Amino acid sequence: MNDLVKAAIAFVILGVIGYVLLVGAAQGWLALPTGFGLFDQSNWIVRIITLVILLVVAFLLYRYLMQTKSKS
Amino acid sequence: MATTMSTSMQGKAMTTEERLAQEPILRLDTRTIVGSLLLAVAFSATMQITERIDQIWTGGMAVPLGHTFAQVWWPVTVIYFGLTGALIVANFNPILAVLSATHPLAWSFFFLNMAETVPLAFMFRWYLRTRGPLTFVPFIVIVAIGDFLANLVQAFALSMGVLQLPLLGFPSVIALFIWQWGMAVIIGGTIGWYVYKAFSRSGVLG
Repeated sequence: MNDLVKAAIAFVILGVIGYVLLVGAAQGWLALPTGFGLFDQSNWIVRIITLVILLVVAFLLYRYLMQTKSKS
Repeated sequence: MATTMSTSMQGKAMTTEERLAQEPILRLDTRTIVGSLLLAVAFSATMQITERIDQIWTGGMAVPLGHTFAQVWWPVTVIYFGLTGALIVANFNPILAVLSATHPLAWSFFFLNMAETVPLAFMFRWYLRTRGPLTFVPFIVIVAIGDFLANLVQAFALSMGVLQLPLLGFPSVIALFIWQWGMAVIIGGTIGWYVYKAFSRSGVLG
């Protein structure tokens, strides 16, 4: 896939996630804490979401690293 | 057309930046991670000053100096360290900004930063792979597109969605957009070009 297409896709994904999290955090959508508490780790929902995101990122990085090693 | 051919297509030796653009975009070797972190620290040190000035002169509604001085560090980071550099440099400073409360909007910087750095990494990679070594005009054009994207997310999500600022009243979302984008491209892009050339000549990141 062309790098410019990847740039556009990356922007759309990040933009949409950013919009949902920023506006959602301000207006209390779904499970997001109201106000500017998106990074309030005393909130259990935020803790769980953060933990899940970190685990997914760690798994994806580990899998990518293993694939890179097996190719080289 | 010779002007649109990369250096490798013309049979010349590739520059360091072109060689790095041929490698995987998400590299996890020690040199890439340490290099990205060093540039992220430099970016954060700059932001510790600019974000506070932004808070004083805009009341926390905009980050014109933040946009401007981001262009000093982000392009050079993504050119040399690809997506790894883009992710590290975009997310390192917001953590410090939230912890040290440099700006009322610090919590939003994660998304605003990534909305620019990730597309920047792909765009510079595309240019270096297909067009050859960077010159001033393409560098500025890519920076302008990148900062436009960050401004777009900021305008819709932050200015209109969170702060509920009017599109044309005072303080106008469009005016803040043009102010930030203009400063970032004209001042930040130009400084960023000379910083990039200085790193390129020194060979310290290659």
